[in-house]
Amino acid sequence: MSFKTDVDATPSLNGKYCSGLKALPAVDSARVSVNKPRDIEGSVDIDSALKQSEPNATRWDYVIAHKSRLIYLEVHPASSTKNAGEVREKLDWLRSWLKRKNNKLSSYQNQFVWISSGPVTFTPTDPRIKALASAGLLFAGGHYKFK
Amino acid sequence: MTTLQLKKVGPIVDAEIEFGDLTVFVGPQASGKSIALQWLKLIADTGAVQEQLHNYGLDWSTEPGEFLDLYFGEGMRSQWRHDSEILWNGRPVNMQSKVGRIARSKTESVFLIPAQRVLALRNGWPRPFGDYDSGDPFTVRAYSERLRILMEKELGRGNYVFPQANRLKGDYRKLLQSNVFGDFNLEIDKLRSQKRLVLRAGGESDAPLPYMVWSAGQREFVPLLLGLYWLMPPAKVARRNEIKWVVIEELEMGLHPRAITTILLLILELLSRDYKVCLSTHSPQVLDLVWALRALQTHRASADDLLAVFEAPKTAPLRQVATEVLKKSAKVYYFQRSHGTVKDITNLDPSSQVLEEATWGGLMEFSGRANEAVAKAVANGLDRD
Repeated sequence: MSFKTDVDATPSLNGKYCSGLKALPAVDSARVSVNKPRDIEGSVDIDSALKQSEPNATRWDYVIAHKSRLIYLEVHPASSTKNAGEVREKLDWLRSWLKRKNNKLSSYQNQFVWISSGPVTFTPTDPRIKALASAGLLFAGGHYKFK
Repeated sequence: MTTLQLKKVGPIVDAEIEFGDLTVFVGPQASGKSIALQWLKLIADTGAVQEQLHNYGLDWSTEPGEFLDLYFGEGMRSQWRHDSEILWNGRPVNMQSKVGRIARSKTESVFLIPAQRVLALRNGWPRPFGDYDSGDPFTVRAYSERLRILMEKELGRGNYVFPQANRLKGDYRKLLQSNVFGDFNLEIDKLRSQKRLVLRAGGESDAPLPYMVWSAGQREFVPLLLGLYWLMPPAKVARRNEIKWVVIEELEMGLHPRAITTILLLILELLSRDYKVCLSTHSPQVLDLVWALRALQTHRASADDLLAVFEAPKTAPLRQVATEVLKKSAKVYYFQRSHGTVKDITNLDPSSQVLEEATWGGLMEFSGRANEAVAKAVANGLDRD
């Protein structure tokens, strides 16, 4: 069992596996850093993969396999209050998608992470950020470092 | 723009500080924040400091170490080494001649409210300068003496110290009453012949509460309030003209965030009166103010938007204060103990890749880690249900 095998076995993701961080365009891969690139087992652009089958869904952006854990990354603005609600909706969609039949990614340990795509108006002590953490979502500011 | 450079002074290896109208220092304990603020006072007010020491019978040789022990406190001479260097507005300060000869100007331009201000009151009354040991820091003794004179000459004639109709705007008084004093007034009481400050509830039968039974926050706050009274004289005088700088160390000490909010509003008042304000702090709330102020300035927000940060009433006097403050500059510096450097983190950008700036000098670190741990646990706990 490998991340690639599980991606290919998940109906909507078949053939969408990319090695390393290649599923992320350069502008987004620059928002993350990793000490040992070989710890990255691969990545998938979920948003693009499901665009045709679920055009109106609040789709999540990426999943990255790192040290046998899956890091779900959403790159989204963080400049207004409504952004927190938007990302929360995306998280709800992601969770329900993970629970679907034959989704082979559901058995992994997860981390849900929101990275800002621009200026940030939230701080870690903001109650909205705390509420998102309580819902399982980490707001990482403008950059996320794999640990 | 006023600048202060410190090289190899105490824990500071290299610091270059450019002061704004509001300047905030953050950093862990013993990283040099207080030393930098005390140097600001000493360099700007050398003559006034020397005069006060002389007036109380204190003397020193031309050797800088002896003077530094007197000014900073016993044992503090070790902060100055043979290769230490200070530059004030780009010009080197010659320590030997600075403290070795008596400065001509006796003007005082820096009003420093020290972190140890709680020591300024004993049994509810300010201690005189001479009541301290000669090894105690000058800034504590001088502050204490200032409060004593204020109490004797300006406040001690009436009964009420707070609230007072001619001290502080009515809006501030209401907020202080609700956020610091509760149902109590701050009054002058006499125990036999000894004057003392007490808290007393409104009812005539209510007994006075002496200093030792006040809450820790009230004990911390009262000496700060008295300092603010001095800076904001009654009636039509907006400020003490000779004072240009107000330095407040750790204004948040012992206080609930609501009380801190009220004090930050009073900081705006000081800025609107054209004082330059320098703060050292461990409170993210203080940095929240700088962050909000700069963002509101960038986006040309209104005075009401700034007042909304404080949930302050949108009255004409407060609008005027907020309007003035929106024109002021702010700077934030992080004192890094491990390297002895001082970093400009004024942008306070949570998305910055510079860790010290993103975590606001470490003040957000814990909160960030707590978010991460909770998010991780919830993500895996919920989805396994």
